[in-house]
Amino acid sequence: MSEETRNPELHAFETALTSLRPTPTPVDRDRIMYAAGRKAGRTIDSHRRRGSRLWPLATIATGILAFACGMTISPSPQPQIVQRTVYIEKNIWPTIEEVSEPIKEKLPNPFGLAQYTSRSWAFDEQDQPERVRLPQREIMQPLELLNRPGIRAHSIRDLEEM
Amino acid sequence: MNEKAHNTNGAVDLGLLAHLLDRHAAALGLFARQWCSSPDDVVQEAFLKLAEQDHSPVDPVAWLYRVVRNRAISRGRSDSRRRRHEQEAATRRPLWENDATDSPASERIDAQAAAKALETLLPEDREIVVARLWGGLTFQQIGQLIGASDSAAHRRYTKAIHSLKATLRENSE
Repeated sequence: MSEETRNPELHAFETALTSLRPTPTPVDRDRIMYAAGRKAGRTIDSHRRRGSRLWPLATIATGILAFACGMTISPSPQPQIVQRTVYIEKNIWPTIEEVSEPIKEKLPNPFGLAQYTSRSWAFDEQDQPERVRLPQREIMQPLELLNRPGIRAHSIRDLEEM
Repeated sequence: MNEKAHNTNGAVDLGLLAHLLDRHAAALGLFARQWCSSPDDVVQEAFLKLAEQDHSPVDPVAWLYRVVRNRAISRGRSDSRRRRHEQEAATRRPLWENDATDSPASERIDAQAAAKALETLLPEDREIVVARLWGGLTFQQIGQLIGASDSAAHRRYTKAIHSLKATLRENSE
């Protein structure tokens, strides 16, 4: 829209009216300028205060972040290896007599040699004399060798001689 | 027309505030006189309010006219007894400070006659004429001020100027 009045006569009348200057309004100019200056000062002060708070907060935030990152990245402490000499007594290992347990169940008769077994070599617990307390397996290992194919069965006497 | 009163901090710039006081204080007083009997106080308050704004308005001139208008209307409604007393004092003061001397003699308008002619206008037309002629507001600003479109403001202004001219011619004859 055109801001100017197109009618020249009307425009001249407007110009004549505008030439009348309104009576000055007695405003307290100093008070207004003082208020504006005080407001500007307060605004600057609040900006400064906000700025002075910004840096400590940023420092704290970055410090917390750095600590968290450090905790995440740092390796967990390894278990410490302590080397020390431990002296043990010579007789700490149990004797055969202590370890060997009496065989409860009756072992299967190996290799069909039971017919040659004398009473003294019976596998029953009650048949074993008190003095014979060797582990049964140690006794049986040589006998297992004999049971392999191609090996002729020997009599108990032969085995005893071996 | 659209003086920007921005400061680096967002507050009103002192230089521009001084300019607004020089350029618009008198016109704002004339504008406020349509509604209330204490236009000086209204203008003072409006400028103080502008000075204390955290952020300067986008268009400080339009802002000032809006604040002055609202305050003057509000003040005009209240305290009728005081208004009557102050109205008398206000009417004693002329609207314009003197006859126009910088315009050709053929176009000179008598200040008192102009004041009388202005009073014959409807208040809603008168505020448009004052805001346009002495306030220097655009029709868009006037439209925003009175809550109408700028074309409506222009139409009403043209009609009011014709009416004013006719009244002045009648009075001079």
